[in-house]
Amino acid sequence: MAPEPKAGGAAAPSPAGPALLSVRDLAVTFRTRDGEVPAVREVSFDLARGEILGLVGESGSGKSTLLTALMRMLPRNAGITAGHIGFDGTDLLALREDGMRRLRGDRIGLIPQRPMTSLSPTTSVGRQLRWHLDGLDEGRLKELLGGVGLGAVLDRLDSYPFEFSGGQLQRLLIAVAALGKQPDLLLADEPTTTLDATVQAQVLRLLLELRDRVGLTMVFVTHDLGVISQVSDRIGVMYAGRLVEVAPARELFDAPRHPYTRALLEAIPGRHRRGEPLRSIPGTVTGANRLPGCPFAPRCAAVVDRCHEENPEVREVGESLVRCHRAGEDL
Amino acid sequence: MSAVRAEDLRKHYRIRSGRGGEDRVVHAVDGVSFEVPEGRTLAIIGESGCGKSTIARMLVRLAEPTEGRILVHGAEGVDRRAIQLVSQNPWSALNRRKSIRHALEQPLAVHGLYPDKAARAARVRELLHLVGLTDEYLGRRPGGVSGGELQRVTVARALAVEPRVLVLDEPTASLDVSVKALLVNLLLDLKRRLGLSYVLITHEIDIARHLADEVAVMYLGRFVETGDAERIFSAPRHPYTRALLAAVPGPGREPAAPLQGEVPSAVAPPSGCRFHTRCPMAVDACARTEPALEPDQDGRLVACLRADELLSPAETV
Ligand SMILES: Nc1ncnc2c1ncn2[C@@H]1O[C@H](COP(=O)(O)OP(=O)(O)OP(=O)(O)O)[C@@H](O)[C@H]1O
Ligand SMILES: Nc1ncnc2c1ncn2[C@@H]1O[C@H](COP(=O)(O)OP(=O)(O)O)[C@@H](O)[C@H]1O
Ligand code: SF4
Ligand SMILES: [Mg+2]
Ligand SMILES: [Mg+2]
Repeated sequence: MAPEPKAGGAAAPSPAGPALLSVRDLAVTFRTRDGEVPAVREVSFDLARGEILGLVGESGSGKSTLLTALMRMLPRNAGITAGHIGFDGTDLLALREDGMRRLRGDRIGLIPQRPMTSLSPTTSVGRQLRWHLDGLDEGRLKELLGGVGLGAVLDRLDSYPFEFSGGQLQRLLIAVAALGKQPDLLLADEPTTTLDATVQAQVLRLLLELRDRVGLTMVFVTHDLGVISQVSDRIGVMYAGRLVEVAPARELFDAPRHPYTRALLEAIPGRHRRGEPLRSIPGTVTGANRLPGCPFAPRCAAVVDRCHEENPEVREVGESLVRCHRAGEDL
Repeated sequence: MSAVRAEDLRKHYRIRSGRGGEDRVVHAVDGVSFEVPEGRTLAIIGESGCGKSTIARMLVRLAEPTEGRILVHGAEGVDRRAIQLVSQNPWSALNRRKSIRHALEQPLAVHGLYPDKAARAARVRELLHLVGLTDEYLGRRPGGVSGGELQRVTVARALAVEPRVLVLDEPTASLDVSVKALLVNLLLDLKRRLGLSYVLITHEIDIARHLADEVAVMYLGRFVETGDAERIFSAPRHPYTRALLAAVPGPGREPAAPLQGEVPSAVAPPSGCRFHTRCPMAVDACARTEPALEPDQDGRLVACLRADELLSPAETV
């Protein structure tokens, strides 16, 4: 049976209750010397309180742009060109900057992808911690840093960022954004990429515990499919600015529907012999966001003529939402 | 002759002390020795902050060792061309305002290579092709290229001066799975074609497993286990190596139980075995006696007072 196509901006319904975050048809465009580059297009999803949405996708598919748009912290050459963001009943795009600043301060937190660029290089780390968390006393500081395995640097907080390792800086920002500010919504952009497996496990446990204890809601971007399967309730897959599949975590691994999702799961190393070439998805994403039709068409194993002409609408297949003309077919 | 030989390397950073006390010392790297045979790959893995990037920086002479010697292809003198670094973050490695052509020409200019204009332009194109990119990338800026392609550019740039050794510090972090696979394939291919040797630092165990011939496991400034990669990955011996490999996330598994106890400070490393404060196997002696790296029966080196007891197959995870 062919699934019914859904209307243009169909949202991924969140099964866990009323939405804390509700994103509809969001579009973000960069103005560059080569013209306008659409980085996020027609993205819609809902997130319930205490829910964790994992985001994966091609490098450059718009994950970081989406998170910074939700924070309204886009670089100057970027703009939100369409859509709606609702947060706990507030229309974020209609909010004035001072109101947005208050929300950023204590209700929506961001762990940025590149810690080095979001810290001041010329100010001691201890002072920067105090900028972000005023009234921070010694006991609380110890608790925050201990939580992310940084108890060992408590005695050198008068050092500058360059005097710490990449993973140490990333953990400082996690401590500030997740533990210090205790937001309702945490946007985490590859928060554990620079951490080894044991420290990563500690940080993941901490975030999951916050979710269980205070109902922290999260969007968690990562390329690590092991990590994403451990933390997410649902997983969204991005390609060339679009959310091409959203499904409950188990469902995505057991029954990936979008050809890009399938190709991604097949490229996991570890299923290969040592030293043999790893499988990758042929072709490149470069230029895909300027094509008519489905952006994945030039690389897709299941492509048909229609894919080159018409951009697929969101379809519901089982518990998954998929943007593919052939969604639901046995491929 | 080894491609790289490091003898008892140390890097101690002096840091200001708060409130007028004495300066203190961070023991970032505290006596590591290793050898990378020509054409081989050594992976260094270990806890965040344990000193991996500090080793990388010393190897390419961005940091001067406090103690110890580094020999690259037998030569101790500083030869900046022989060994090059590919760093984790391609965005910060390249100037956003300059074209990719500029990024590739720059090292040639710095080292006075290919002074003839036409020859230099040809070399730049050759480098780009070497990493699987086409001429159309030459005029682009870093902002107009995807993360994976940019990381290829940084590899091409490192290769510009014809090094014999590449130090790769988390080269595949923040790349998606498919682009990661392409980069891994490229590294395997370049190694064969150019006879390169690699020192690879990574938190991605599956990448280390795929690329490395040998592995060194590092904890708080020292190596705790070194040897044949396949042996160590399939049967880790040292309690820290075991904890590290057991924590690697996989679909359907809960996040691993973290190691017990506080991560110790590199300013005042624990006495005896540096891992004893968190080791599930620790006995009283571990707090007093520092274990040396000793050969095991299968040729690997393990620094643990209880290494012999860890041998039995019943105990190997
Ligand atoms: N310039 C410096 N001055 C003082 N301490 C430093 C300096 N650079 C690094 N350190 C310290 O030395 C130790 C080792 O740092 P290094 O960057 O080598 O770690 P790493 O193993 O690469 O960690 P990660 O996996 O998090 O990148 C850390 O405790 C770090 O804080
Ligand atoms: N400052 C910028 N100027 C112009 N284009 C940008 C900028 N930042 C990102 N982009 C473009 O926007 C798209 C999405 O990038 P990004 O959100 O960083 O992707 P991801 O986080 O998924 O890797 C890419 O095509 C990227 O090149
Ligand atoms: S020496 Fe002792 S503390 Fe160190 S790893 Fe071995 S058992 Fe654990
Ligand atoms: Mg990103
Ligand atoms: Mg490092």
